[in-house]
Amino acid sequence: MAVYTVVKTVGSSSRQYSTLQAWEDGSPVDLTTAEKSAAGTFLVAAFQIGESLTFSGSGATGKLLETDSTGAGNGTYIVYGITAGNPIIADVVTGGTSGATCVLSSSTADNVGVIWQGQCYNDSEFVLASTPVLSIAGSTASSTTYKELTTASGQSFQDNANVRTNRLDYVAANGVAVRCNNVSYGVVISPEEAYLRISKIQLFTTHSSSYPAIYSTSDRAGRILKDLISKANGPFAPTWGNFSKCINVVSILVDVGGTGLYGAFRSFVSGVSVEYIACTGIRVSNSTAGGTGFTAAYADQYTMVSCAAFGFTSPQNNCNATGSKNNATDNASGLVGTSNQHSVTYTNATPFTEASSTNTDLRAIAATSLINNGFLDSTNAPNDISVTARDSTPTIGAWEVTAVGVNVDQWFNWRQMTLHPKEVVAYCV
Amino acid sequence: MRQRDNMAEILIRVKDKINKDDFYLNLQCTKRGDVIAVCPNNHEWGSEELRSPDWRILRFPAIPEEKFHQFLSAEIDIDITQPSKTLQRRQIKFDLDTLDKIHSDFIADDSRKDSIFISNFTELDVASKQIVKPPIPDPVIVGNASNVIG
Repeated sequence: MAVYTVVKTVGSSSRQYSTLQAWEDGSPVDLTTAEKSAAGTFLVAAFQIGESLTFSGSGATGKLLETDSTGAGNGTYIVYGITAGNPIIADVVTGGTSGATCVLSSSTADNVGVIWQGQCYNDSEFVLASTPVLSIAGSTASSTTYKELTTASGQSFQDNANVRTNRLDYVAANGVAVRCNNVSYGVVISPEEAYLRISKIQLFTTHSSSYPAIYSTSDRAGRILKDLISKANGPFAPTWGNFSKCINVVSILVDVGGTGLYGAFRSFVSGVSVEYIACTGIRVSNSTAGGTGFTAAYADQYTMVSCAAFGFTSPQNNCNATGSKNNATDNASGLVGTSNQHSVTYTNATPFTEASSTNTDLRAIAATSLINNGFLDSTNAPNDISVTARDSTPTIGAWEVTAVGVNVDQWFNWRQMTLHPKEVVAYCV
Repeated sequence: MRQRDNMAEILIRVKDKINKDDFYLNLQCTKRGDVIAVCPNNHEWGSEELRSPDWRILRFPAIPEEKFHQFLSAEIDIDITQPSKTLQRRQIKFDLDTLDKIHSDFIADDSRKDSIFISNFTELDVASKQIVKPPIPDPVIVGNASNVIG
């Protein structure tokens, strides 16, 4: 049976939630048993989201997550977390706060299991001078029923009209952005729950002694990070945790003058194998090389496919050679697996548009060894971080350079072009 | 435009969130007295934050926002290389059980008419309501329970 997605809006202007943590705290404790059921005969009052429910007949109890009823006389369904028992047809459902009632009208639930999805709006930057800005934990989840933090339509840096010409960096104006502001050991998101997903968001922890932007110390299964910009000013890897998959994640370690202890990506505890797919991890070019780009505490704990590691003393440790391929680094050696690119020149101006800490821009540029040397994972990463389709021999890292041999996106805005594609190719070549 | 002065408003849980199926997950659910969010005065709260029976919003015109940040901290690992499985979501809770009547009535009223309660508490009052939660022993670690001798 299909699960149901409970969509909640999060933002600073007339949304359901104004804070990320309240969105998370409003979730049901068991995502796997929550249900959506047909209902009718809505009477007395409007139900209150979050109120306790009693199901007269079956004797079940629960908590209201969503309904389309706005008051007595209208409504066709309710979505609820189950506290005890098992609701049945003809149960009279009563809200413990509102006194509202309705009657379940179907012998089986329409959906069993929910995805608790927060859709963020870029009304303003989410900022907190305390750590973490958001922690995610405590609910029973599964591979099909989980918490998901993402953006509403049109609200991500990916949705920005100038996504191909904007700097690839934490830029709050470009889309939903979450910042832990000036907190020693500050963390933006602490995701400690199995199967959660986070996508399309920018994260930044600003203190020079910050912890990672996204930081987990647990071995929870099935967690997926996708299309994120993760940035930290401290010495710890901006993306830290045993996430099952990291896809199109840009991890920027600033740490100018510091030691860069753990590079850009780090997996830590045993128990979960990690796949890094089309990720870009750098230590900014105006910082002395240090640390390890992709790192883990245990041997063969992860694989790297089509990933870039620049600015570190070594590109990886404990990476599994089996399955790793098509990666790139400025180091003379160190990558494992097949079809890798070593000794790629790394300055502020190559192989990225700007790799220093000032106006950082990690869009790959043309005519480097990143171009056409990546691997196309058409299942996990058919598109790059700007939602541009990768070609069959893609660019290594999170950013796809689209024109043959030339990054025309650096020259002009594609979206304003009116030339026939053949004319563009002729011009570029 | 709302006038903000960086005095505090807090969203606080008034009912335990309980995961009865998993001991460890339950420790990571917020409990009564845990502060969920801290915002500046006149924050524009979301519709579900304003009305949920699980939470209350308290405004403290005499207390700066940053004075409440400590309530947001999770219990911290003593040894980062040996992560504990029994860390609680919040290390400090706000004592909701010893409040005066006017505060208690608001906390108890799920169907409250006013979504935000304006508290006359001083910093000293808030300090007196801080409770540091005791650590929870891990039941699968031998000798980690408080009733083990030696």
